Amino acid sequence: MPDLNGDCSSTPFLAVDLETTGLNPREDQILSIGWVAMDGLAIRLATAEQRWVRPTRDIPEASAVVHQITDDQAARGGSLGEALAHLLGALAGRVMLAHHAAVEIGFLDRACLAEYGYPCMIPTVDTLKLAQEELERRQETARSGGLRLNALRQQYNLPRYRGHDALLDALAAAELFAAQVTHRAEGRPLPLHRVLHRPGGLW
Amino acid sequence: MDAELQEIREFLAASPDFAVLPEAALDRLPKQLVVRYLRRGSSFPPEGTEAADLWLVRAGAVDLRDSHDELLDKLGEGDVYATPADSDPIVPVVGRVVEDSLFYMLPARESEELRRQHPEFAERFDRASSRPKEKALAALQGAGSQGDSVLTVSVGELITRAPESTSPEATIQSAAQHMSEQNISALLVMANQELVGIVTDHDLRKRCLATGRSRKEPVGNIMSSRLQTVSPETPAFEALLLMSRQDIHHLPVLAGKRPVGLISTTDLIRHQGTNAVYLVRDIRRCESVAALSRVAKSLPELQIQLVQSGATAFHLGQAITAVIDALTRRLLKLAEAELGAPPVPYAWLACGSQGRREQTVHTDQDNALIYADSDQEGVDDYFVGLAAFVTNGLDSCGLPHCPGGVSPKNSDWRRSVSDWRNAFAKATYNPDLKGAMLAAHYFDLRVVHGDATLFDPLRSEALASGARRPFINQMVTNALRHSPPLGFFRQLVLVRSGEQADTLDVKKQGLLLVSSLAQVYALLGRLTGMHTMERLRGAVHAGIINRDAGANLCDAYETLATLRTRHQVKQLKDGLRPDNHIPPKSLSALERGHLKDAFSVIATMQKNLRVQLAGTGSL
Repeated sequence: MPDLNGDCSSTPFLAVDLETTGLNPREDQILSIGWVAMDGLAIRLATAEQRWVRPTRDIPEASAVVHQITDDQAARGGSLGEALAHLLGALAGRVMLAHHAAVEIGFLDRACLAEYGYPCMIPTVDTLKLAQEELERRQETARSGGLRLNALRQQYNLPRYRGHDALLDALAAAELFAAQVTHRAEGRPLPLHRVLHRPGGLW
Repeated sequence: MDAELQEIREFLAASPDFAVLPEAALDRLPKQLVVRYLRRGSSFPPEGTEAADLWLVRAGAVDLRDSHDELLDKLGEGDVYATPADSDPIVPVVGRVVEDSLFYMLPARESEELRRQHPEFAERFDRASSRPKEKALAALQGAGSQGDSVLTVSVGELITRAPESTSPEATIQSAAQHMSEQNISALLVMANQELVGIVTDHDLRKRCLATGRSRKEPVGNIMSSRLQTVSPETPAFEALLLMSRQDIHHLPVLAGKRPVGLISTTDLIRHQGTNAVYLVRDIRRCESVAALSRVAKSLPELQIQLVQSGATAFHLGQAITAVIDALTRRLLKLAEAELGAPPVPYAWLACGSQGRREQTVHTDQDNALIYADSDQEGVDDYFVGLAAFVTNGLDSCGLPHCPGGVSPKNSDWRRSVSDWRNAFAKATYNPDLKGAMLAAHYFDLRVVHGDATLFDPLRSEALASGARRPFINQMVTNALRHSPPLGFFRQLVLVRSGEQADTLDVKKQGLLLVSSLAQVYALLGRLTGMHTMERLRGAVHAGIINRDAGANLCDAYETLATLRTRHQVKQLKDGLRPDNHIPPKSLSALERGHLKDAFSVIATMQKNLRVQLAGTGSL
């Protein structure tokens, strides 16, 4: 289990991104899940994975455009249960990391409830929340759109990815997190609890 | 591989270092990478990394310095850092991240495996024998090259039949019959199994029919006996240039002393599309400056054609210089026709890139003049008029006057033999930087027209006496005045963030640095060659530099020259005036990689020369 007082640069993380048909976990569906593991701040692409989920309803046109996922593609995916089992396997012993983690938490809680009968109690860090904290620390307010993944990445001189899918977004969040922690730590240890968004029910 | 990591694969494939890998290896790579973020100011590579780790800069910039804090290299997006296999622990490289940076790191185990499986990849990081990638250079030079053009074949491959010959005693009539039976335009003349002359259609017309000479006379009376010959190994292109320069149309091919063939300009022209020979012929026929300036308009077309048919920068320089030499000679003839015969023998000299035969269409005049000593009045006045006529003529042919005043219009560059001797002596015996700069020009002077015996002895004398320590030291200082713009890559990095990077002057910031080094080597080895590549090869032969260093510098030169000619051809095609300023944005990652290799080779050789200069031992 990750140590709350341990240094971020030696904590295992798993950056996760979900592509969904909308933002409401009650109505919308998960289309794909992408993830990549970080050992401390080193992102290991060997662990990068993406799972498509076969939707139980047709994909609304608008989200198909955003995610460039078609019904055909989605139809080749597996069940949500299968995808979830793989994700939880990858998450074992790791802290989850996402940009605007509320969405991931909301959808994963609901999926876990449906699958296993209790919510997904994974300790989580949120890069968007870290960015907000950073602004507060400097007593600034976010400009419109300034907290979006790409806008934040630009601040840290991170490249712009052209693609837009669950895995690439998970990677993008992982890189952003590495940059945020590197800047905040300033060469000193940064305990995990300082960046944790939700401790998770298991602790 | 996962299609999701396609973007990373694309980034790898665009890096010149990874681009050498086969597709299948590239497919596997993204999954082996570790992504790292390092903040500005961090040391690089970071703690806890292994020597065999490979670091590819995805975004940001890193400075590499030696222990004296001298900048060795700048890494930017797409550049790879590998600890050299032969890392010298006494001269550690200190890296510092100078911009927040994202890296793709290939861990030691995977990196070693990859290097083991792909020697062409491993080679790129093996700095001990850092031969800058000949194969890749070839790829850079010529996608469009046709395999069998005159640029790539040797004279021997063009020979279609054994040469026909006759003896000097045979009558003109029998020689003519022999030629018409065989349907050939030239006949070799052999005595005691040795080639003594050649007789051509042209000789028959001009020296027999036109003069009313008897056909019963021996053919030896009308043959040309001052012969230019080539060997079967001579590149066809060189033969073509020789014929253009000498204005001859047939070349006997000798294996040892035995004639094995006879090639003509027709053979060569038939073999490919270059019109250098036609251009030279047209130039010779021009009767006015206006006519010459019209013909000179096809020079850019010649450059485009040559580059597209796969000419190396070396070949291109030779061809363009041959045409400009021809233009100059024709203008001198026209000038002599207008001003009257010269009062004393003289020679017209080319300097700089024309002297070294390294010109492209973007060139200005660099000339000088030497005339025989004489007590006669008004000798210099004649040459003032000659210089004005010719330099104005060249200007109207699209070759602007020299902005630096290196012109026979200027009395510093128009002198009698004894005056020139003094000038050489002053430049070489007074070892100051100004003298060295002048001397650097003097050593690139070449006779284009007139009496070569006026100038050539001066050059040999200067070479013989110039290799003295104080003078050489000044020449070295002169050669090291500018260093290659490694910072250029830093600017490339900045282009992304909106800052406008300067263009690269590939001549001043690259080619001339190699030429200056070559000049110093030539002086040290008393080499008579003039072309930078010739000098470099000569320097290796004379043991001034080692073979690898020579080959590296040749490659660097050819890389820079290739980028320049490409850039100019693109400008010509776009209807722009060709120049030497390459905008960084126009460079592909591959070209950028080559450019950087070239710069680091130059920097290394400059450093070696500087060390040698500082050392107490002999150079």
